[in-house]
Amino acid sequence: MREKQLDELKLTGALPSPTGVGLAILELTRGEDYAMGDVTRAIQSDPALTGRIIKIANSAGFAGSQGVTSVAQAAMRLGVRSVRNVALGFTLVSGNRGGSCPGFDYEGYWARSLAVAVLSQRLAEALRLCAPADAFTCGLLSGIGTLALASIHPDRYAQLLERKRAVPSAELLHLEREIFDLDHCELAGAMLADWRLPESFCFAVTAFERRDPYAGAPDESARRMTVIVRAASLMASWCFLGEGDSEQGPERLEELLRELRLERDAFERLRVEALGEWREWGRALQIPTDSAQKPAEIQAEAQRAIEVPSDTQVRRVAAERKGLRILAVDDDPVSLRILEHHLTKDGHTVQRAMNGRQALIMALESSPQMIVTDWNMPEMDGLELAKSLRRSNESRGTYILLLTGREEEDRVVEAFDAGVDEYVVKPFNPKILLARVRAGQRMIELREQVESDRQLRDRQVAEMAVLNRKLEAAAMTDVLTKLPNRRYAMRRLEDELNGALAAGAPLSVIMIDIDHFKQVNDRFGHDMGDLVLRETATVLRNTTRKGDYVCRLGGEEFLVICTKASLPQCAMTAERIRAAVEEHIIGFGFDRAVTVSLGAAALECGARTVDELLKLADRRVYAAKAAGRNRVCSNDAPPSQARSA
Amino acid sequence: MAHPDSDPVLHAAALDALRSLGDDNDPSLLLEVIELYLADAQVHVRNLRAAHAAGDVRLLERTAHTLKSSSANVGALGFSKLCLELEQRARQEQLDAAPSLIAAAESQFATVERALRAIKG
Repeated sequence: MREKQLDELKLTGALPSPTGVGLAILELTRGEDYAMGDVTRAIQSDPALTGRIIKIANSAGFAGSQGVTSVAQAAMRLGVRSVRNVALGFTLVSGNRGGSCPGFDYEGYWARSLAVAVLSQRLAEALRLCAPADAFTCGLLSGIGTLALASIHPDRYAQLLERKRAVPSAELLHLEREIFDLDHCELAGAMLADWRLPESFCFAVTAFERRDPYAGAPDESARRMTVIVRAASLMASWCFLGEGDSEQGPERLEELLRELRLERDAFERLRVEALGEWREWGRALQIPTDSAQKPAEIQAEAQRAIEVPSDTQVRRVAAERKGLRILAVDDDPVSLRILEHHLTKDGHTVQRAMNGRQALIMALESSPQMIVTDWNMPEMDGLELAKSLRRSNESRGTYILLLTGREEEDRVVEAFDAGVDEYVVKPFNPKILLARVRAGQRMIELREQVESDRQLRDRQVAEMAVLNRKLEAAAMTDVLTKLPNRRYAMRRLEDELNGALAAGAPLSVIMIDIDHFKQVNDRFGHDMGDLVLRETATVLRNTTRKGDYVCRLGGEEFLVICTKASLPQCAMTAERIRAAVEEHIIGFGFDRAVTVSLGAAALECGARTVDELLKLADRRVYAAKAAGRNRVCSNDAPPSQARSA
Repeated sequence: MAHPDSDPVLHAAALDALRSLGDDNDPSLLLEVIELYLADAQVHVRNLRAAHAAGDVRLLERTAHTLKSSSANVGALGFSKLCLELEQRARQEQLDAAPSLIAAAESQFATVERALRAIKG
């Protein structure tokens, strides 16, 4: 995936990305050398994240050693890089647990990601292929591309999922490329690279779902990570989520275990442990892991979404919601009960907590829209609660209404500084309390409306970006042969030539002209002429090397840009093309082969500009034609022997 | 110093407000709140004496504070004022009057409890 393409998608603002602490960590670790203290401090500012990092450090295959109780210890044990990566992964979970793509099962997505994460961690430990904490992070983010596509194109991704459900045999990657010109694996790799996660992670997430996953692995660590994530993903499907073909599952699992050289018993132990951990993480992150997905329900939702234009739907949902989800906090049971009573009666859904600490845990778990809290409480008071909530990514936007005693009223400035939004003096008049809650509700709804408008706008920007990309691709493609056109060829050649000159690397081109093409058109008609062009294009595509660019310059003229090839190599390619074209019998009533004349030219022939290089190649095509056609000319001496120079 | 004896045990207006909570759907709310209050307050009233005996001024202050708020909720304003006084004394660490205030609180609470149980019927 091109960097420019990712930049375009980033501009839409809809890509899942670390927020708050995650963003801070990303900033702090922009360079190669960053201090452990900076990273641990950033993590510690978020209590929920701190707990999760400590949990990972205690579970990452260090059984028997002393328990980790602080972020600093976790960093010592796992290494600061791993801690950074894990933290980044978790801030992504918390910031992207819901979204606007109907039919995309967000909970199911994270449940699956968690399963792949714990299985990757366990496999890494059992097979000793890489650091378990790294495997956890890579597994957790392995599917991030689907989440990203669903976030950027909620409606169109919903339609894609619908198509996939209707035709289960259709390949997701293929459908994605068809619609977005980009698949989720490619996107995931680019996103991970953008977050400066290790190259092995980027390769693994790009490759593990492909047919030939290990091809092109840059190094051994990338291959190992791919082995792990691929195995973990398959195991998650077969063993945890009951996806895929249950008939073939057991057999393919046996095959996979043989491939991994993992004993059946060892795998069973690993599976049971991972299952327990999966449920534990699910509880910690509030992601349901035990209930199976509800495909029928999701499908129905997707169906509705397709029928109803999305922005109407957003508004409808907003209109239906009358009450808020409120967390009421008071250490006095009578006050708490009365508070709950008033709020419930006014249409809100109320959770209760007896002190600040309990409230903090509940708030992080269930993200209420509003918290109504007493000030003076044992364990953690209302102000400390507000401060802690404001530090945590997940609860930054929660509206906080503080109940104060008369004697505290002159200290309310302190409360606002701590992050409180509004206060009511106790004992409160219920009418006034409820009026303040409703005023808060207007703020909350306004903010949510702004957020949903922003999403709609982002979606439009993203649609535009895709359209632009398609237009650009169209402007660079020859309609008839689907090869890149002259405009592309010139731009590409310019880039390659500058790169080659700067690096002192070889570069060559082959100019190709179909022999007697005018006669084909005249004798067989233009349809047949088009056929000959298309067939020749196919032969060219199939006979060139992977890094070569085959373009149609116009008419019956083609150009092959041979990167990193010197003149002799390029002449060999040219000869291969010549022979292949001559041997390729074009059917469909034409029933014969055509021939081509080719001119090869390289930088080492003295050409220094695109123009010089092309002129040289062009001159050699004419020389080949003059010498009798169906031959390659790669020097300025007149080609004497027939067929090849 | 306040004179709790001059006030009615339960403030009628506060109690009416509380009673009106349970008008339509939740007629048992008043009874539930009384039950919650009594169960909670009994513990706190015992803690007043225990905190003082242990010399834990902070616990004394906090307990009195809690009793002050919850008593006001059920209309026991006289008792609530007594608790406020105790809370303030504890905050300023003026404990000379504490024993007599605690004794007064205990007896006042007994009266409040009787009055509330009478409402429950």
